[in-house]
Amino acid sequence: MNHFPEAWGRPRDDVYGSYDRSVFGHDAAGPTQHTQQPIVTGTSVVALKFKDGVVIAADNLASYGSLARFNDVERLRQVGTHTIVGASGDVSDMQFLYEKQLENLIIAEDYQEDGHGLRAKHIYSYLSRVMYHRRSKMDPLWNVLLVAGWDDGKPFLASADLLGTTFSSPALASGFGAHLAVPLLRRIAPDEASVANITREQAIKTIEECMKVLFYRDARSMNKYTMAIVTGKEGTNDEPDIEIQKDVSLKQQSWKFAEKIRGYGAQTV
Amino acid sequence: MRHGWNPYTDNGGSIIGIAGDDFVILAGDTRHTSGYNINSRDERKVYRLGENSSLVLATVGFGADAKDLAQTMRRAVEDFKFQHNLKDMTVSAAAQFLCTVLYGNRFFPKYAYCILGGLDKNGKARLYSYDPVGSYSKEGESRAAAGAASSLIVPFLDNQVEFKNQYIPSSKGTQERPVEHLDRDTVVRLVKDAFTGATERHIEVGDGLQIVTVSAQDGYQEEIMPLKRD
Amino acid sequence: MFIARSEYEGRLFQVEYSLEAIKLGSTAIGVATGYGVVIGVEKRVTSTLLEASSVEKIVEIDSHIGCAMSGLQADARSMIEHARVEAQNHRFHYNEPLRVESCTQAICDLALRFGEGADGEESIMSRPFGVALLIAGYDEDGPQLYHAEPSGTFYRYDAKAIGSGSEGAQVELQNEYHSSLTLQEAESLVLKTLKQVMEEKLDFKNVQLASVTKEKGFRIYTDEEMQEVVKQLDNA
Repeated sequence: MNHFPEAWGRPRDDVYGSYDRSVFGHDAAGPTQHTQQPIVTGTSVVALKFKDGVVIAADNLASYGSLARFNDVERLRQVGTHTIVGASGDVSDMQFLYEKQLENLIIAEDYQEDGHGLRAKHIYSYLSRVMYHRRSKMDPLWNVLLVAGWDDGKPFLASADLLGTTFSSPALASGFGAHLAVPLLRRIAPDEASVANITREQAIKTIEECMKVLFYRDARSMNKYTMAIVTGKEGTNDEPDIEIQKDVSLKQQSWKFAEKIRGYGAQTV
Repeated sequence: MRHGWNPYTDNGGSIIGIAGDDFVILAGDTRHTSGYNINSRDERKVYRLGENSSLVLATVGFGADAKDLAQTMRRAVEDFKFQHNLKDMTVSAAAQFLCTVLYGNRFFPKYAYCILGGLDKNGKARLYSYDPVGSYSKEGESRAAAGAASSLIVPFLDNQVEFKNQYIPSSKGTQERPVEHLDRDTVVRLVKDAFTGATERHIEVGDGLQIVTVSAQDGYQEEIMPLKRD
Repeated sequence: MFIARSEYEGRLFQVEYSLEAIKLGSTAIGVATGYGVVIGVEKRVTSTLLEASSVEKIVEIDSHIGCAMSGLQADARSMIEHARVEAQNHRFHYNEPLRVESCTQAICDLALRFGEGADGEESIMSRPFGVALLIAGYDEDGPQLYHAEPSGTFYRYDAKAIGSGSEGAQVELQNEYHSSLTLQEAESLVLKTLKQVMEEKLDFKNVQLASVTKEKGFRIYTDEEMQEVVKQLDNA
């Protein structure tokens, strides 16, 4: 076997002569290949609605399997004036969505200069269709996306994944967060009605708590993250205030429990 | 071992449809799941096909395909109006159309079970149910259930709607209880009982119950009843 | 969309010429009653050696829709073909018969697909159709009669005549039509009117009738039936 993966499983050139690439037609580069697995990945995105908006956060780590490959990756992206998108899963697919698809979408919309801009539910609808379309082509974009923002005069939060599955909830988290963060978030946001009683400060505190727990237990997470807070004016579609806090360090970590753990690391007894 | 990517998943939940004489009720729970996770407690499965339409579609199975089907149907019903001088699509036409859509995807099926309900031009209830590749009965049916807890709900409806295994007491088990149209309150009660029961026994069913009624007298009505969230 | 010659006053000459061409065609008449629609055509049997039954100017589109034509019959073939496919497609998709108006609209959608396409795509026709149709049908809204022109416009009529004898025939229909006609009265009105405007002497071989009713759907009259109605006309 040689070092060209493309040649693996094909008749050997030295026995059968070189491979006849004309079978691929005009595209001599080889057969179309589709993503079968994610390569460089981002972990959880967590988000929570509050009375006047949404808080969303994702850490800055991009992993290559179990290797912590990049520690300065932004996984949240502001799209237009009303929306923050957060992506977990394959980082290159995320970059394709952010840099190509969404960038072009917003440019095309801005060129209209008609005073209309795409709001959260438009961005979400678009992304949902892209995700479902790609899965239907058996060429998925390997991500779970959370779309947070402001629409219809109230907070907006919804999810779309690599299968095109879509759903919405006052508290959402992808990946590990679906197991670890969602229960914490649902303590204060069990249903849509409870959102009215959650303050901005409370929401931020809860998301910070989630990021901490995720760092404690998710091996593919890190202690530096980005958090975005969208705050709108109730009952209007006026441009919401979007505050993006970058390079946030985890606060108030408590590693006391670790002192009692024996059998790992460098302890002697 | 290589394992390929699977373009399908199951998002749980169940749906029911029951036809009375001049009303039809479609209902579904509002839980949306992925494995043991609850994605949402308020994701609805019953869709009205147009703003003033008597057509109602309930879908369950793979959530993305289910929603896509509902949208396809909504667009088809709207488009039909424009193509045919603002005449509404009849429920039997919608039924046949849904069949051709599903069967049209025969070689990459939409993994969703559908129940379609509505009133015909005489104001009589019609109910149709489908498998993922479009099999359905043109005659329609009196009741249908699909989804995660269908195996729990179907026998209940057999007994309570079709009166299966019910006999006239005085006949000592020789004379079957004759089938008759149920009234609206009874049907709503049956739907609620079916779902509270399914919620007890099936982990993918619960949170809320969306009940849609279309009747000749009162038009379209929708209600949400809470279900257990455990 | 198409780009057609329209030098003067925004008129599309190609279409106007085709409308003129129809006035040279054989006469066709339709009368709608509350019980059904009767359509009739003159066959112009120009030679004793011509087999009259091979002149086909009334055709079935579906079991509940039929049509009579005037003008270039060959052009009508592609319109009829389209209408038949549309009618069957409707049954396949919706498990119900196609509405008569929708059928007419489907035919008219073809009418302006001549000339160049706007995006340079291949057009399907180099000129407009040279045929007009009387489309008769029965659906949930009852019996209906439509007239479709090469311009792509269509109107619904109680009674309509097209072709070379249409001007005289339309006046006759105007005078004789009333809303309580029976099907038999419609038959004789169609025949009587045809007789007045035809150059040849009317007999059971050089005219053809057809009807659309709720009970029997679309039906072309047999030779025996034609003999019968022509005899009744002669007796009257």
